[in-house]
Amino acid sequence: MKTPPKNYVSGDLESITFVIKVGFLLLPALLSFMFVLFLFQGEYTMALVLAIGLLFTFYARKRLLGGNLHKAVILTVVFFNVLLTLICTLGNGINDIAIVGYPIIIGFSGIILDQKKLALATSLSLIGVTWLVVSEHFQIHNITYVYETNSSDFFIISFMIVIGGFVAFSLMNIMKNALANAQSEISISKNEADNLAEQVGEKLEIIEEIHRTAINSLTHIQQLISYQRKSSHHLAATYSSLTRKVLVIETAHQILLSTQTPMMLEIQAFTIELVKKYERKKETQAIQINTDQVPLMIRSDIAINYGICILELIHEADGNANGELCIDLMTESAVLFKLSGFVSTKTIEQGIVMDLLTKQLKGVLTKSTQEFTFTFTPEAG
Amino acid sequence: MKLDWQAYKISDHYAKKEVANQLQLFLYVIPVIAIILALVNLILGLTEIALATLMVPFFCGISLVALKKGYINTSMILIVSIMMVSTSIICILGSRIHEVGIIIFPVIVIFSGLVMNFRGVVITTSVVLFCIALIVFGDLWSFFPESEIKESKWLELAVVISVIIIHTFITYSFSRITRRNLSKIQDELKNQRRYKNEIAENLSEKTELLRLVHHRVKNNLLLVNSLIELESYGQPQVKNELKEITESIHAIARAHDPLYHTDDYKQVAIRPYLEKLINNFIQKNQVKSLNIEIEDCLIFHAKALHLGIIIQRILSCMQNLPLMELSVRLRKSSNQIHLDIYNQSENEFALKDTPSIKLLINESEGKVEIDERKVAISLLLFSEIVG
Repeated sequence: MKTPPKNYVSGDLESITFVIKVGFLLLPALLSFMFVLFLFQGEYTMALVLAIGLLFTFYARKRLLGGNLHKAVILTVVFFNVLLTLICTLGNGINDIAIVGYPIIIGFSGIILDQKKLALATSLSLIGVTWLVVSEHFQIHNITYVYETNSSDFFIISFMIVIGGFVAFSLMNIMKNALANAQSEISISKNEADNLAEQVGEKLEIIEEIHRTAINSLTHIQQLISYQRKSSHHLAATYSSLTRKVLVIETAHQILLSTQTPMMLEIQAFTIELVKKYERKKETQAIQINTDQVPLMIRSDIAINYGICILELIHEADGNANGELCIDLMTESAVLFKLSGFVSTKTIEQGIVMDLLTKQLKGVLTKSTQEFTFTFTPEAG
Repeated sequence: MKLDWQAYKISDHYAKKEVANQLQLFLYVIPVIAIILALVNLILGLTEIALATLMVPFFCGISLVALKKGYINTSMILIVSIMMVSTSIICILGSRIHEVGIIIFPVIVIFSGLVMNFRGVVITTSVVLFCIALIVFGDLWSFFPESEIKESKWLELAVVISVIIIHTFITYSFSRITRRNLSKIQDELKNQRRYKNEIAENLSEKTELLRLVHHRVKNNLLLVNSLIELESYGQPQVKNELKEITESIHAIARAHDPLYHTDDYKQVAIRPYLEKLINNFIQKNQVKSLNIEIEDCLIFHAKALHLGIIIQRILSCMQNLPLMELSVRLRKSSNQIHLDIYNQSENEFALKDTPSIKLLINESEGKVEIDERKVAISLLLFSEIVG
């Protein structure tokens, strides 16, 4: 058999083949028994009908196992309906014991075939039994009633019922087993998926933990810096610069932790947070920030480079503040950071760090005595 | 207590509710047909057969009550039993094995094949075969009195047609329940597999992300060191003063190096990590001899990082000491790590920053014993140790 019936799965093929093999061994055995019986009783017409049935059984078995399951089943259903009707017609009509074969044919087709084919099998059975009564009533043929009971009746009926029961149970059992296997597979798969989901959750927790650890470590470095700063007044500017850089990284990790985006930072939120922290740290006056409210996510490493740059610019401007410092941040196409509100008495140099970071970001830094402008395109960074 | 006969227990894979609904439907239909047939038999003067047929609606009623109370197995046993008994009686009272009622026996067996387990089917089939044997051999050996039955072929046709139609519906309905469930469960299985694959993909993404996050943290910290390096370029004194800070940053950055992490990035292999830190230290300091005995074990990242910072601070206190004979020993007990750092040379080993080191160790739920004269430090650390 090449393909399973519609409601079975490929894994069932072996079991279905086994059921059909056994079923089609029991059926010829029954037909042979009946054939010999009628031959002995001298009912040659009946014996001939059974011989045809026997031959057909072998043919159907070959077709079934050859892969033409649907056609073979339909053919078998039609043929055995006709055969049963013929046997009953030649026998005791509606009172013939062969009528137990009708429910078996219907049961077999109901399990293995679909609705339409089941309707076909039922219709044929109904036509068959109606024919038996109608033909008798209108005396279309002569029925020779043989009402005497003999022990062969028991064997024939028992055999038919056992075949029917075996086929029905086995075919249903295959479906039920497939159902059970699928259920068990679902349950295993669910457990595995739950496990994986748990691991995903764990990974997210670890990512959070990394950010938390990074923040703690940076706090520790800040403490170390402030501890050393107390004993090295001549390096105050260097320590201050170092503090700003650590502050940028710390802020980046705090935002990454709170927003639960492990790698991306929203540039406006980052800028605002940085400025706030700078204000707090330096106890400087409030810095006004104007943004275009266009959210822009950038990679955390780029954001950190950007953060170091702008904090350096703010720090430079802060020393020459002329009233309130003002930041304009535009993020629509590229990132444009404009700082004003100060007046410098001397030309401000770029500085080696700023130069390096600007190059890394592939940005442009313009410094005048009253305004700093820093632009870069995140994609290019 | 529910009367469940194990032999008749419906297969667990079967949808019991759906089976119960179908059974209920048939328990309404079968009595109606039985009453009609009983009436017809009564009209035809077949009183005994009519009475036997009337047993069916009565027991169907009891079966229905059992079903409504949730005793599905009891209900099924009742219906199967009454069908077998009434069919046998009707056949015995009628034309015996040639009675059309015989058609009900295969229906009963096929019904059991659809809804019952193996034992249930075997028991049902055996009882049916016994009933047939009773009818055949009882007739053969004249156990039953002769019956003179008025035959009505049209009534027999009605009986056979009713049985065939009911049987078709029974077969179709019950096999459909399993088919539908199978189809549903196969869809569910497909979805479940897809979901699992998606989660597995998500997990591998998260693992990669984890590696990247560690990598970024390390890079960000090393960036600070690089910028310090740049700013202090050509100023060796400044560089020297910032050395402790840069080395602390270095120790923290190294703890984030995915190179020292386990595959799940939860734990750090402590031996290569600490060896790297110590080697880094001896490259920049005068060390006469070095003895490192670090046990191979894994500890959680946060703790490893803390340990790295502590060792870095202790080593920083030792820098610039001439001709050190350094010995670092780390071993793991059940839930603690013991770290000993010795300077076996005669040079004075005074920790200039003892309070901050003590503070760091206290933060790590550890203990410290610092003996300045003998230059031996013993650290008892950590409650979370794996590996």
